[in-house]
Amino acid sequence: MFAPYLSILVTLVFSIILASILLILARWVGWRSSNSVKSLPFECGNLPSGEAQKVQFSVKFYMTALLFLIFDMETLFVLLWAAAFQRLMELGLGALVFWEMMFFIGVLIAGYIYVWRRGGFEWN
Amino acid sequence: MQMPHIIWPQWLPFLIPLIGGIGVLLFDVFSNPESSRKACPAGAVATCLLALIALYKVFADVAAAPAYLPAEYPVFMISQFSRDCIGIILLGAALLLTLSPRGIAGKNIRAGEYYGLFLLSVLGMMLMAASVELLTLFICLELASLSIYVLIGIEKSNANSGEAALKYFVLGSFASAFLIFGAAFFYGHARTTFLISESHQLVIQGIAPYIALGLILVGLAFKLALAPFHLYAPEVYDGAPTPVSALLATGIKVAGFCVLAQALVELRRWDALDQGATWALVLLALASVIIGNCVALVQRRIKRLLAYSSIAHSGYLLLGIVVLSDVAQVGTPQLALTAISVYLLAYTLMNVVSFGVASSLGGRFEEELSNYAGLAKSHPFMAAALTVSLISLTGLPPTVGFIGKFYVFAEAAKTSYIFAVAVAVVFSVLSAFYYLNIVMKMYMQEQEEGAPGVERTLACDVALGVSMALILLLGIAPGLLFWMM
Repeated sequence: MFAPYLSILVTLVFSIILASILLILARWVGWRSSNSVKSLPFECGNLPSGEAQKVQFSVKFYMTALLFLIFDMETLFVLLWAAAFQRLMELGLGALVFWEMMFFIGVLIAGYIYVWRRGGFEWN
Repeated sequence: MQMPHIIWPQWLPFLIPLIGGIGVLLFDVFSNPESSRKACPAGAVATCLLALIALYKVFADVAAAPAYLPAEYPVFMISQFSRDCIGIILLGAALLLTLSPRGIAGKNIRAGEYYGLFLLSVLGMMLMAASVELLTLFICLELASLSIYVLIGIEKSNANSGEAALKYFVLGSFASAFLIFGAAFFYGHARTTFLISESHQLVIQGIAPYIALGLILVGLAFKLALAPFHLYAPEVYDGAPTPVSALLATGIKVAGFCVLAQALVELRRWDALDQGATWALVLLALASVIIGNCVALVQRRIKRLLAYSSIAHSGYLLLGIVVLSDVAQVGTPQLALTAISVYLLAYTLMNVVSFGVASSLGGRFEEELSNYAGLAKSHPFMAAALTVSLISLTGLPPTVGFIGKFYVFAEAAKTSYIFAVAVAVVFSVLSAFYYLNIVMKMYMQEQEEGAPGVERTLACDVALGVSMALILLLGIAPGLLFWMM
């Protein structure tokens, strides 16, 4: 019954063994050093210059990405819903499915209003 | 496949918290902070009470036959047991929401966000308690958990709060993964994710059903803070705002135990359990009782102590669940279910009071136990409330804690796992030491010089008074429980 999964088990066991051997060998054989050059950020072998030393992204990009995700998910659901709507209507489920989606969009709109009132769309 | 037909009034008890939660959130952004600080808690408490009334109106006669929602596609089952569990969740939430304004005062928390998320997580717990389908269970658990993750870390300026939220988030997501993996195994073996399906094929054969039930049990055990999945509990309870710690200790555990009990009753009906499943539950219960009680002995912070005490209580409750899964046990599970729901009510009330006292006093009273010295002189009402709840947690009469423990242990003693009950009784005697230690501190030690007093609010006094009265009343006249339920 579990024969198909045997290969996964073998892979798992071998990868664990291999990883532990490599890690133990590296610990055992190798030696460690730490100096100021080693702790520099790596940039194609050159010393980092100019702005590259202190790149910072504004947290506003993060907010935008978060808001995008919400509407991304909404699109995902609405597309599938629209594609299946004709068939569901033939089954006599039109009203139920329609109001379910309105309900879902309503909840998302409530979130949208919340973000708007809290100033989530103001860039400055 | 039959098409679902929605009967809207049946969903009313669940729609009320949803609309209330979103309403509170939107009210907050359209009004000034001062008025939303007053109106949001009132609205949230009213929502919980309305939902409680609607629940008992809509599902008044589920004792005869459980209601399935939707009837043709039953992902939720409202039996008498799950209805009472949802009622307990709502009662606990209403009391905690009443305690919340004092609990979050002066902590730079936006009222709308706090009460909105609180209501949404209560909604998640309510739906979770009723769900009998694994994917629905997962979604509802996530609704409850995601809101709770944010609630734990809602105090943005407090590093402990953030740390607790991150810990719970990382470990909680991990536990959810276990649950969904178990659901996948369940589907692979039984060809359905419904726990109550007529066409149930989950026969104990091969190793897959053990893996499925084992993984689901691990996922739930984490949420129930059962040893050895309890390690997050003390840290998280200590770091979270106190009313949120109390919600973690009560609401989500009531929902989890309700799911576990309903699932086991259904699985036993389909002959899908054997001795192995029961042993797993017995071992979890014993580990929780022993670890919870022993480690609680050495705690110095009130919320960590209450966390370990709640781990121990999860263990006692699990002994009641063992009865449901015990294969040798014959007859209907109704008695055991009643015992569990009585214990859940008792557990919720006493935790609301003990966390509630800490949150009402606030400041240093949410921290070191030694600060409770001499409390009886400075705040006699708070000291009395805490004493009643601690006596109830110990399981001494005349409190509802005694009634609950008595029923659960009496039911569990009917099974062949009576040794586990014996162990639980011994450790529950041990628990008297750390519970009554606080009582001794409050009544027999002197207060430190120069400790500032704390102002009281009417809302806290009412919530604590009602819970304390219920603990005593139901302890003296347990017949009232059966009249109420």
